[in-house]
Amino acid sequence: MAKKLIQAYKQTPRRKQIQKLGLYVLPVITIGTVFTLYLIFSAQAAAAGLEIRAYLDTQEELQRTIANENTQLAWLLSNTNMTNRAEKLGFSQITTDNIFYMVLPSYPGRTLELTSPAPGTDSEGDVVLNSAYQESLADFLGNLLFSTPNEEVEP
Amino acid sequence: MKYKFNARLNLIKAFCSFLCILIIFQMFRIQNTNEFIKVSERADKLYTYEKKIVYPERGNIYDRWGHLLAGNEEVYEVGVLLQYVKNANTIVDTLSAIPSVDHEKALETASLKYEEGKSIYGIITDFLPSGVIEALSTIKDEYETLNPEGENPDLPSLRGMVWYPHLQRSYPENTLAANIIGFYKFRDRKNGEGFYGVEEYYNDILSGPPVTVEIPLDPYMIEETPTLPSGASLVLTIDREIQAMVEEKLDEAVEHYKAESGTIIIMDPSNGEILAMASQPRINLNQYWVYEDELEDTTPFNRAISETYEPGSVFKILTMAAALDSGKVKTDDKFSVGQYYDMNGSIIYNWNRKSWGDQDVLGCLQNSLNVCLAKIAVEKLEADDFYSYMQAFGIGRRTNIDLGGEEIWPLSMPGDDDWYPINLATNSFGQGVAVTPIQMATAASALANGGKMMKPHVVKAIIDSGEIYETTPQVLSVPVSEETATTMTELLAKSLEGGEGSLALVDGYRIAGKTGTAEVPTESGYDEDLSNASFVGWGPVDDPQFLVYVWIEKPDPEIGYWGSYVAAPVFHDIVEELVVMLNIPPDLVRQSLYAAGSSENDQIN
Repeated sequence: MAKKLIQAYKQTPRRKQIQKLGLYVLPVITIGTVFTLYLIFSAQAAAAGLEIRAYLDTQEELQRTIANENTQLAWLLSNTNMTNRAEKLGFSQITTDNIFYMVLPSYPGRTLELTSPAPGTDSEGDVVLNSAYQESLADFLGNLLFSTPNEEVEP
Repeated sequence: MKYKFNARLNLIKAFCSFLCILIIFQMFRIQNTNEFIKVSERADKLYTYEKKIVYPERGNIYDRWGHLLAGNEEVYEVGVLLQYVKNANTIVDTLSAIPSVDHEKALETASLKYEEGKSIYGIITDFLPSGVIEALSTIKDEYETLNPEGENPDLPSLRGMVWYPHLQRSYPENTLAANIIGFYKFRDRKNGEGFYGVEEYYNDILSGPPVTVEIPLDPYMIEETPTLPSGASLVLTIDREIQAMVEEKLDEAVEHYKAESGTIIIMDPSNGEILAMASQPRINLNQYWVYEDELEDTTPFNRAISETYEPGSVFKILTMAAALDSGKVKTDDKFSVGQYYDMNGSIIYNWNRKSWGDQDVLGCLQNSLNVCLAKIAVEKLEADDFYSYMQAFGIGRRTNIDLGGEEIWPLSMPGDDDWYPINLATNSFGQGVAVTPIQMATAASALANGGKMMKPHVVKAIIDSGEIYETTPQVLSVPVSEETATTMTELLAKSLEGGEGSLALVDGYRIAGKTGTAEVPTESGYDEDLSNASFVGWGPVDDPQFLVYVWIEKPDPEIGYWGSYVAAPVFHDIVEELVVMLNIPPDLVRQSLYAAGSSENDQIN
């Protein structure tokens, strides 16, 4: 009896339909899952790309601001301004009669002090994102299946 | 039943599969049509990459102590994004308050019709300071509040008006050292280049050319925007305070003597560093475009290196140095100096047209006697030696100072079409020969530096990619021996102390120097009413640390004519302040400090 019931269960057309449907839907779900993951990673890569672009813009803006601030400071400290300020504060030009000279053996004398602009980079066209974030699923599969392994081994 | 179900299922499968194949086929077909390829290429061109011109930051220029003489400041370009313009009149009316904006042109630009791929953006004005942009931003926000998104065409709206920042060359000291720095044509953003001075001479290393780069719009293809290396920065040998002082003295002198112009050079004879170089006129480098109005006709931008003139008696120091160095004249030799010197019928007079009797070398220099120097050149030195020495002193040759626009006047020599025997006599006292002030100062510096003539230069160091590369002083030539140089310095010091140049003397400091007064050549001969008054001097005599060359061009003869009365006092005024700025104690103090045990390398303060 039990054997008959099991056989009947297995042979129910509805079960067969579900099994066939399941087999048909399984690859769809698999493909859907892969596409979902692909979308998630793509979105993350895009967000990272946009963030990097924003940082690069900020970097450019900061470099411009630094150059501008240095020049504005130089305007404030220009010879004319400093002379006028000194005169307003009651200073006057010293003459040889009012100078007492002495030797300072350990004093190196007045030295050049300046901050030079930061060196730029010759990075024209360097791709910032990791290459793994830039390949499509097809590229990935193609590389995985058909690319020959790199024979060169880095020491 | 089972058969029917399978048949239906197979039919659905076949239909779905056919549909899929059809879709794939259609996709494949579409993607390979000519239209698709064209559209795809256009889309790639328009939307994949954005073209951008990157302007590398131009290198800074500093004085020897790090004061910024030329830098870059942020300014703004204002334009319209045509797609978003709602009310062109409001934009133009708002911007019309700015002097640089042409109302009609601005209206034409703002009213352009937006056409994708053709008319997208128009520039209305450029180089606006941040203050103006702040004001525009406030107005734009107010209008936006009143008329959100510019929907009401009857209300004002500044939608579509945008501004982009960029750097512009800026000269915080305005006119200071303008003749040395030159200028950068920053208004021509694409093809701007340096003109005159170090801006021209070092143009290539101060800035690289603008670079057009393609920036991918696809975030997956994000590339690092090329921050091209900023141009190298220059540290000049110029001392800002000394330069300012010299310019002030020069302007005062030119005004006082109602002179046409003037030039002053201060250099360190030991290494050729130019500490200050001033000439007139000077322009405000931030408004460089006025230079064509300010510098009329052939007026050079920097007379110190570009204007040749007959130097007159200051040239005698070279003739006498050559005579002593050749051994053909000794310091105690006597010369009979009559009222004139007859050179094959050409008559050369002394400055006062009087006879001076027997004179030794010192007397000839002290009294600046043309007859004596002509005799020495013609009868003792002779042409071959004289011109060999003059060439060794760099006369007729470029000093190759690192400034744009150096000029020379060729030195006529025996064998040249324009050379006559009388030239030897007149050249000996600085007439019939032309030099630039920098040539004369460089030649004289050989006597102040033990016979070694150093190459004059204005760049002390170059800062490139964070590294400082110092300039190495170069010896141009050694025209005379150390002994001759020392003898000449001593003679010229004595000459000043008891001679015509006494107005140049500075209390506490022993100075060597020579005055010069040259008549000005015109098309109809020498004009006796016009003179070039000059003075060259260096000190302290026992350890020369500076050389000052003063040239006052064509002073009003009613106020002053002679170098001893026009240029020598200017030299005095400059040196009086210069010794303080250079920390040079009076001779007695310095010698007592050294005697007390300090070496010459110790810092005196």
